[in-house]
Amino acid sequence: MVQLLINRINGIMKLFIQTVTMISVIAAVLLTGCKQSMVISEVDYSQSIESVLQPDENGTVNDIKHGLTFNIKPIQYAETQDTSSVTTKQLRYIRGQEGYYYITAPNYKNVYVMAPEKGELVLKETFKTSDEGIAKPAFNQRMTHIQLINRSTGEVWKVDAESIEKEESQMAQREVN
Amino acid sequence: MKFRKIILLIIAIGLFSSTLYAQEAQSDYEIQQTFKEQYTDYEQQLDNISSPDSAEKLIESIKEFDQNYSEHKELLNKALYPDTYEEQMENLKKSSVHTLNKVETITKQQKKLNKLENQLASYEQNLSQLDQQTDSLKTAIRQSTESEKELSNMVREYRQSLEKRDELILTFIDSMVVTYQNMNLDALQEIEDYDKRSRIKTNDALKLIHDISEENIQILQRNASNLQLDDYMRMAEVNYQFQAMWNRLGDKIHEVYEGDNADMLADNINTNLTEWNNLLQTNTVDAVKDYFAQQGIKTTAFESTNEFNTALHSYLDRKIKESRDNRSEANYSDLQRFKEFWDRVEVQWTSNLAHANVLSRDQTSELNQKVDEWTQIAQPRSNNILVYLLGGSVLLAVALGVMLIREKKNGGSA
Repeated sequence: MVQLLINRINGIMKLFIQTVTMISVIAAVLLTGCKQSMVISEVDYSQSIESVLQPDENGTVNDIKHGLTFNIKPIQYAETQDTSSVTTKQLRYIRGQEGYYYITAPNYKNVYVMAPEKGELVLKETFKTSDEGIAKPAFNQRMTHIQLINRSTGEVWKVDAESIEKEESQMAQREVN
Repeated sequence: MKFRKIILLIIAIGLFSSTLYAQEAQSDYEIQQTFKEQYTDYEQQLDNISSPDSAEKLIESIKEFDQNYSEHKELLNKALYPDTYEEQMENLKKSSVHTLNKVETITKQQKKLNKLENQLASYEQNLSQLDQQTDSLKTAIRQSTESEKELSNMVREYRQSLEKRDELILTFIDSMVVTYQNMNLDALQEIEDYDKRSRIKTNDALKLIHDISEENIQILQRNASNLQLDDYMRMAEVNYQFQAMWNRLGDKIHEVYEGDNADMLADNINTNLTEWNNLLQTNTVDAVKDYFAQQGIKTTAFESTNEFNTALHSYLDRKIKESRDNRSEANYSDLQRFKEFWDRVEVQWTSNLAHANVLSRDQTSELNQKVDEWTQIAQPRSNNILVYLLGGSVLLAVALGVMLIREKKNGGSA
């Protein structure tokens, strides 16, 4: 009798384990299917021509053409260690092929490479150009990199997300888009 | 000296190098900004261009602009998206050619208007002189105590001056038609935009038309007794041409006029033309009455154009019946007198009578049939008999002569 009861319980347990296993497998399959994300590769984020923006009194710049608004005070602080007032009259930025933003301004000594995140731009790299800063900087989009030029002197830098390299001006002249 | 040359050479090389350097330093942003600014500047220049020469220079400049920027075509295509560099340059070139054509047309029209302006001044002066002359002649005729012959000379002179005036008005009409017929209101508006002066200086046209229409009414009102059917027929032609010119070009002439009283002048001209027509019609009927009285054409009395038509029909019917019943010398003489009048109607005045609303072309045609009928049957029968008798007598004389000659020959031989 006892043996019969034990056998019965064992049978029920077996059935229970089988059912739970089956449900787990189905759930796992379903969950795996739901989590699978779509990926589009080889996206080109490059912006063909740099944006030249004027910050308002609060330091906010608004690029209507590219749908981007942000405050420049953190960049100004990084550059001047001062955010008591907005001293940057003009901000120039361009977006590279990989999606990073290259930002600078007249008389800034650095180029800031920022990565777009959810609701924020995160500093990836800071590249120093010179001790005096560039009086008239400008970015050009090139096939493999971003070109930074000093319009006053004709100096040229080749910039990407990892590095900055000063070029010979004649080379820049020959460089094909 | 040599040192100076070296210094200059160094400066030149320095400048050249700096230019090269500056060219290197131009950014894509600057290129597209400069392109857009220059493009907008060209568009504005095209809007403001005012002479064919400057339009042609601008076209050349646009070509250079295209040459300078075509090397940045790919960059500009991105900057101008969704437009393209080619589309924008094509539009600019098309606009420049369109502007050149427009400015050339405007220049031609301006020349025409300037010519008209000079002509108007001349017409105005001549008309004024002729009006003064006719006024003084009219006064002289009224006050004249001279002989009948002198008076007749004065009236003839007066009529001649009116004829000259009408010729001048016809020339004026021709000038107006030549100037305005191919000119559209848009072009006139453009002339106004480019050169206010042109519009202001051609103001006189509307005023002159107004003055002519007013003066013509006064002539018809004041001088009815001194004018004859010939004068009214000539005036009917002038009236018709004047009215046609006004109907066709009135809106344009009105549009060009810049004075505050443009509407008033245009309304007055319309009123004057109606009155001119009415007076011309009435005076023509009166002049025909006088002419008939002088020529002894005895129709029934008529006071209006309808009555005139009826009177002519009844006169012709009566005369045709007379001819049928009894062809006579008197009836034939009546025909001769009437034909003298009717030949001028047929050859010269059909249009004028129609334009003056005295006799329509259909009415003239109907009357013409009756005149033809009368002509065919009005020849006096007696004249024909005489001709036949004369012919018969001659034939008889010839026959008798022949017979006598034969008789003599036969007698001689026998």
